[in-house]
Parts: sequence; structure tokens; C-alpha cells
Amino acid sequence: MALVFTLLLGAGVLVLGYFGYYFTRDNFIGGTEEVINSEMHYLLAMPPAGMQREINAPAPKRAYYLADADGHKAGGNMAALPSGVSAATQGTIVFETGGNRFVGKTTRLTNGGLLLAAVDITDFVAVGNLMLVLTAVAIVLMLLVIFSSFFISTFVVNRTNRIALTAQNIIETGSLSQRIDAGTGWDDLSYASSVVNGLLARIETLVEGVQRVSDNIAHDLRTPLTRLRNNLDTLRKEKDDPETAEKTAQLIREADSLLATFSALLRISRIETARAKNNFTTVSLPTLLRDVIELYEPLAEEKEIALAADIEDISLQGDKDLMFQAFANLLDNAIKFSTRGGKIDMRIQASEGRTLCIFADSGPGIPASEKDKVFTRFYRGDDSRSTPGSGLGLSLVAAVVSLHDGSITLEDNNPGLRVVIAL
Amino acid sequence: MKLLIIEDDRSVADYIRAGLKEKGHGCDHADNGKEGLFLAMTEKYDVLIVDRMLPELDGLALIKTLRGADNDTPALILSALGEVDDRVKGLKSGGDDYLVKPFAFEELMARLEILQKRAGGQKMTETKLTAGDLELDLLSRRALRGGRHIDIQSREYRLLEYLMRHKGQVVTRTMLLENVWDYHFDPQTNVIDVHISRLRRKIDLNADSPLIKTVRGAGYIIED
Repeated sequence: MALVFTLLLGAGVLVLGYFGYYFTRDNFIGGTEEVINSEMHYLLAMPPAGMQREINAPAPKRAYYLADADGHKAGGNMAALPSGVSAATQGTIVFETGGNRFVGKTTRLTNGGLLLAAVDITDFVAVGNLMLVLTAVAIVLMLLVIFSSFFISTFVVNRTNRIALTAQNIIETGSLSQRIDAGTGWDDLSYASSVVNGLLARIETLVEGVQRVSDNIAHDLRTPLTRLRNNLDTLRKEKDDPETAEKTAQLIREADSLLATFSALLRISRIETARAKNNFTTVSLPTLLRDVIELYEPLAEEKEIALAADIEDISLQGDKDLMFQAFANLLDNAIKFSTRGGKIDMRIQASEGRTLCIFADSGPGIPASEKDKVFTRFYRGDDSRSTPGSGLGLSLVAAVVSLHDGSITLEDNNPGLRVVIAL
Repeated sequence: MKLLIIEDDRSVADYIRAGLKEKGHGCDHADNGKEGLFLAMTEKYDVLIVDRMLPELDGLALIKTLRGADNDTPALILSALGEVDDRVKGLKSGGDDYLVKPFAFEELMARLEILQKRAGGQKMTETKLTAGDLELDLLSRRALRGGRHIDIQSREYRLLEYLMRHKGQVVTRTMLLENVWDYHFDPQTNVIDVHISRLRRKIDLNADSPLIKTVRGAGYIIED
């Protein structure tokens, strides 16, 4: 941008310079020549006496010299022909006499004489010189403008880039504590930077507030729930009556699943708001996926589901535990929704610079109309209402994938569901 | 065991205290960080149970101060914050174990017993673990039941090893996930149970009494 701006200004200066030069030089002289030509015509058309009268007492700023055939002066207000001027001189002649500058023309008369008609251009030349000086000054000023605008624009671009970079950083890391270097504070951009910093501080306070609220929910709501659960537990131990024991055990299970849902919800919000990447290490995807498969293999075996994995050796930066959780949730879902004797295909492969993790099952799949809803918290498809679960599994997967700057898509496996995670 | 509970939530403290009393353990209770630190410094305890968020002095700061003063009493951190990050922070500040609220008393008890044993310092370099007529050779990584070789896979071996290292102690499902699988995560289904029953089928094959017993509401135990 800065460069384009400078080039445009530079072109402007060139045009201005040429304009000044053109008008002070050729145009003046050309214009004067026209005047002399018409005057010459007028004089030559006059009878000799009239011409004599005209050239001996001319109009102001006019000079004439008339020579006869022998070259002697025959009239005119000039004392002599300027040096170097003869009958042979063609075109316009510029000469100086008595400190003044003239532009003139000679014409051969029919009687063999010579007529020189000239116009005093001293004033024009002065004006022309003044214009030249002014043009030069204008050019210098323009050059100054070019340089300063170049510096200003690079400065502005640098500063806006810095603002953009900080914003980008905040989006990527989720660390709202970053601020833009506001600099000295004398220019508009450092003012803008400090305003943005103020905005960031405000957002940070709000996010902290949200986080505090969820932490408080964790602390203040989970604690009484735990109390409830614990009291039930005590009750179960105190009563020997088997019927009461069975009922309290059931109540405890209910309380536990409520607490588990609650923890899962809090966990998702924490992953989404904190975007904490400080647990990121180099994670070997083959090891991770094989561990997940190994953990769920007995479960799949019970349902006679065949697990197949095609894994490329890829490592990436990530949170080991969260990725394990995400993979585990996906495989768990796949096993849960597959029918007895089904097949689950898992794949890790590099594709166009991204890493694809694919989980494909042969279950009922997800209807197209529900595909974008399944990542919503607590959403449960019609087919899954009868199965146990909280409706948070895929939301958690989506949160984990987004933390790793990845994307997740659901495709048809015909039949079944194909979950593709691109990292 | 003599324990110190540093917890500002009265009902949680009472719940723990009642449970410990029932199991025959003595305990003191402090409801703020300052008092807790004072007690921990002046009295001798087997294990400390420290809540993370405490008035006066934060639980992590308390443990750090203790460790700074060369007090190595094992400490179990209780917290409503369950993220791995918090867990790592908790363990880094000198805590020995980390338990997320809400917890079942059995889970807490199992962990306390293991902490106490560990602090007992019997870190012998054993080469063989036994439980009843089951033998686990740590060098050749082989399992024998009544002299008969049992064919087990590496994860089953680690599962069995963990159970046998804590023979006579209750081991919870979360403990197994953390120590045998080495991942902190929340399984949606009872995958651990399936692994245990698979292991059981192998080691209890042709045996009269099952070695790995289920403790209701808590986890598993292996006994002689």
C-alpha cells in the first residue's frame, strides 16, 4: 500500500515538473513568435511612410530596426542590429540590448532591405523564471510529502499489523491477557491501540467472570449435590433392610449420573473458554489410537463387532488426555450404535497437509437433518434416546477438536456414520 | 491411621469424618488453611486431606509451605476443579494424590490407604508378587496359578500387577484408569469392568474361588 501511494505521488510530481517547464519555455516564445508574425504582416502591408512612422515611434515593448539594401540603418528605434543577426538569420532570434531581453524576427524586404521586429520579453522571462522557481519549490515539497507519507504509511501499516497480530494471537491461544504495545501515545494509532487494550481488558474481566461463575457452579452446586449423594450413601449403610438398600442404591446412581453430567458440562465450558494449550505435548496418534482400541476391544468383542485400524505414523502437538477422551467417546459411540456383528473402521492418514482421523461404523448413522444438531449440548437423536448417555459426548469431542484448531464432519458411510476429524 | 482433614465445607468434612470413624481411624479437622497448616506442622499425621479452595490460606499454598519446611506427610488434594491442568498443578505443588469432588467415600479410603502404605516406605525391589496361589513373576512378566502358566496380554499383566501390588487394598476404577492406562479421562461406559471380567476368566479358570473380588460401590480387591 505504502509503495503504491508513493508511486502515485511520484507520477504527480513528474507531471507537475513537465508542466512548469513546458509553459515557461517553448510556449512563451512560441506565443511571442505569433505576435511578431502578425505585426510583420501589418507593417509590410503599409506604405513605406506609414511604416517609417510606425517603427520610429512604436508601441511600448516593441523594437524595430530597418536597414536598406546596403545594410545601413534606414529607420526604427534600435541603434544597431544586435550582433550575430543578419538577413540570413531565420526563425526567432533572442537577443539582449540595454539590459532587456527581446525576441525578434527578420524579414527581407522587396527593395533588398531588412526589417527586424522584436518584442521585449524581459517581464515574461522574469515571470517564467519565477514559475520555474515555484515549480522547483513545489517539486521539493512534493518529494517531502512522498517521503513523509511513505514513512507514515509504513508506520501505520506496522501498527495495524501489530494490532492484527495481537488479535490473531489471542484468537489462537485464547490468552486474553495479551495487550498491544501502545507506544508513545502521541499518534492516533496508539490511541486506537489503547482503546483496543481497554476493550481486551474488559473482555478479560467478563470472561474471568464467566469462568468464576462456572467455577462457583462447580463448587457451590456440586457440593450440595455431593452432600445429598453422601447422605444417601450413609443411609444405605445404616439401613439393613434390603428393599431400602436397593432403593437408596438407585438414588445414588441417579445422583451420580446427575453429577457426571454436570462435570461433563463444566468440562466442555472450561475447554471452550480457557483454550488452555499449556498441556500440549507431542502426541503420537498411533499410540493414542491403539490405546483407545485396546481399552474398548473387550467391549466390542462382547457385541461381536470387528475393529479394523489403518494407522499412519503421525505425531502432532496436542493434549494427550483430551484427545484420548475424544477418540474414546467416538469409539464408544460407534460400539454403542453398532448392531451385533457390525464393523468399525478407524483410520489415521495424512492428506493435503492435514491429518485425518476417521471413525466409520456400520450402525444406523445420523439423518442429514440432524447432522449439525448432534454437536449441540444435550442433543440426543431419536434413535439414541433409549441408550444410556448424557448427550454431551459429541459436544465434548467438538470442543476438543476446536481446541486443536481442527474441524469435524459427519459423513454417510452407507450404511453407518463416518466421523472425519481434520487436524 | 491418624488423619487431618482441612476442609471448609462442614458437610464434606463430616461425611469423611464419619466414614473414617466407622473404619476405626482417628482424625482432626481444621476449617481454614491457617489452622490446618498449624496443626499439620505441630502434630504427626499419617495422611492429610486438603481441600483446594480454603479460606485464609489456599490448599496448594499450604502444601507448598509444608514441603518447604521438610514435612513430607502425604497429602491428598480434594477439589471441585477436575481439569487435568488443575490436577497437574496440584501434584506439582507437592500433593501426592488428587481427588475430584464429588467422590465416593470408598474411592477416598482406597487412595488414603495406598498413600499411607507408600509413605511406609517399603519400596523393596520385589521380583515376585503373590496372592493366594497366584504368582506374578516381575522379571519374566509371567503369571502362574497353582504352578500352571496363564497366558496374559501386556495390559492384563499391568492390571494384575497393579492389583497385586496393592493386595488387600481396594482399588477403584479411576485408580486403574490413571495407573494402568495412564490417561486421565472419563469413560462413558464401564470399560474397566469388561477388562476385569476378562482377566478373571483367565486367572480363575478351573479354580474354586475367584481371586479378584468386586467391592460394591468401590472397585476391586485381590486377596490371599
